Amino acid sequence: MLIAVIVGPWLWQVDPLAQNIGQRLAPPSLSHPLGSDQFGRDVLARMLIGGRWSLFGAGFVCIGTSCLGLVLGACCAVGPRWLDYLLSRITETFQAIPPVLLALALSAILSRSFSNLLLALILTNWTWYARMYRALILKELAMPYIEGAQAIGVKPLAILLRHVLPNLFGSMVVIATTNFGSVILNLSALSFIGFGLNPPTPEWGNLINESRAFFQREPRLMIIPGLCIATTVLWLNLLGNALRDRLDHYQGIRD
Amino acid sequence: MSTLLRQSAGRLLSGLMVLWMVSMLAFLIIHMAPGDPARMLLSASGLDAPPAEAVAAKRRELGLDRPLLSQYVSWLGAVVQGDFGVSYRSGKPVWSMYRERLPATLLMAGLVLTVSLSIAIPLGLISAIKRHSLLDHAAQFLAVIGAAIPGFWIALVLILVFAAKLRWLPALGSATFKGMLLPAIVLALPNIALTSRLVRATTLDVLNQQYIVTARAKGRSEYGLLFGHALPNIAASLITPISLELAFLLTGTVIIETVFAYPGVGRMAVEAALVGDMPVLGLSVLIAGGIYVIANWCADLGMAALDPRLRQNANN
Repeated sequence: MLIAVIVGPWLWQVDPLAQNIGQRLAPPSLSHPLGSDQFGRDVLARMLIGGRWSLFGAGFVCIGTSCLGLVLGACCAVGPRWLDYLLSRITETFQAIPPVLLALALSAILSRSFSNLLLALILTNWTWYARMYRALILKELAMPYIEGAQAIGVKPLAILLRHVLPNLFGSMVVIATTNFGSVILNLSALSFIGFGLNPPTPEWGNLINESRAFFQREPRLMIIPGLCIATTVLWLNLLGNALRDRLDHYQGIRD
Repeated sequence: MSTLLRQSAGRLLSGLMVLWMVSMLAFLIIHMAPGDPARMLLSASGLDAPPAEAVAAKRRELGLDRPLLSQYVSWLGAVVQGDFGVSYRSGKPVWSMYRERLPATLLMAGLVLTVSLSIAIPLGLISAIKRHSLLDHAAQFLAVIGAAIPGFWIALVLILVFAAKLRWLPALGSATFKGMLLPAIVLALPNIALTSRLVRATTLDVLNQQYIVTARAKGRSEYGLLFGHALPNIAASLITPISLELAFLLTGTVIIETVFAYPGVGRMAVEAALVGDMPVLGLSVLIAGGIYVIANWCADLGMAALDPRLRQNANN
């Protein structure tokens, strides 16, 4: 699915925005393998471009939250106790509010745009990462080799960057992959209720939203993007599980 | 007992701190919004183009010319007394708007929780006892699939099948049994998938404990084992997830309520966000935080009540 979204738009060079009123809601055919939508636009091309927005958006959110969560988790793990207490309470505060509600509030403050939606998702998603990284770093710091490094006089920052960080890398990949799917779901859900890309730019969530007006006549327009989301998320979840089984130092720490 | 007391006091204190931070967040959400509240309130009361003096007077009346900190203090004082401000759009007190919508959400949360628990707990128990049976694999399969499908999409598919094609149920939600059925199914499905897997994992874990082996060695029947020894322990470990789930249902059903146009508090938040009615959003955030903190407290209390070991450890 990822490959299809990256390579697809080059292979299937049909303009996803080109309207052809004569072909409104046309059924699948050779020139339009998935048919066309209410403005005669090619559904396959829109699916592929829309997937780019969904996947790259969610990927950006995962990377952003990973960085934020890592830094805050590290602050909790190595900082003084009052900082740990304060940051833990802030984390709980953000956990106390449902992500969708917080994202709604943020997008109302920041005006509606795709980058603000991504920002809102980062701000609502980091708490889980921060708790996870805090636990992981604490566990890593308890390892004997850290004591050895301290004994030979390696500076604390160097221990964190040179010894702890590389060992966390596997877990970081697992955590981000596991979370990727749910970010896609949240992103498409918010985009579906109208906080995201504005039409005519396609994104899987707002494609479903646009299809609502026609979904009795042409359920295909709604079914296809939903299946795209479901298969992508399913694939990512399975990948995350497989990676977790492989890199098992992540196990035992569950939030 | 003193350790337990100190622990509870610590929990209470962190909970209060979280509540306080939620209040700051809600205040910031209300105040960082674009647009002038004074102007919006005047237009809500019927003035189309309010004169500049009226706006300035309203700003003074609302205290918008004062420093942010003093505004926060007076806002918090009002909130503690139950005054959450008035809507920018309708001019009505937001608390009464919230209270109008609350019964629908409460009803839905109750229905969804009842339905999902009454299916998920037996399903999880059977999956654990008859491990690797057809039912276990089917439940596993459904849980994996269910975690990947967007809820709003399932909602649309159900509307398409049951409302548009078969015409059995209304497409729009309402606080009647028929109107609640479809949204309740959509909300219950992921719940059932998650909880049944959780019940299964906990049951397997509990059944491997030493005391189960001892009880079995003493000749207790398998059903006696399950209901007499295992079930209380399983219940104890389910309290936290279930209370958090309830907290989510009471606040976070935003998307599904929107799809079905269900008249609950979640949809109210979406409507408010779309038109920039910040006091309504602020109240939603505040209440969500409050529910979360209270749910956590209740879960802690419930755990202590159900699991004597927690009390025991605290005593030592």
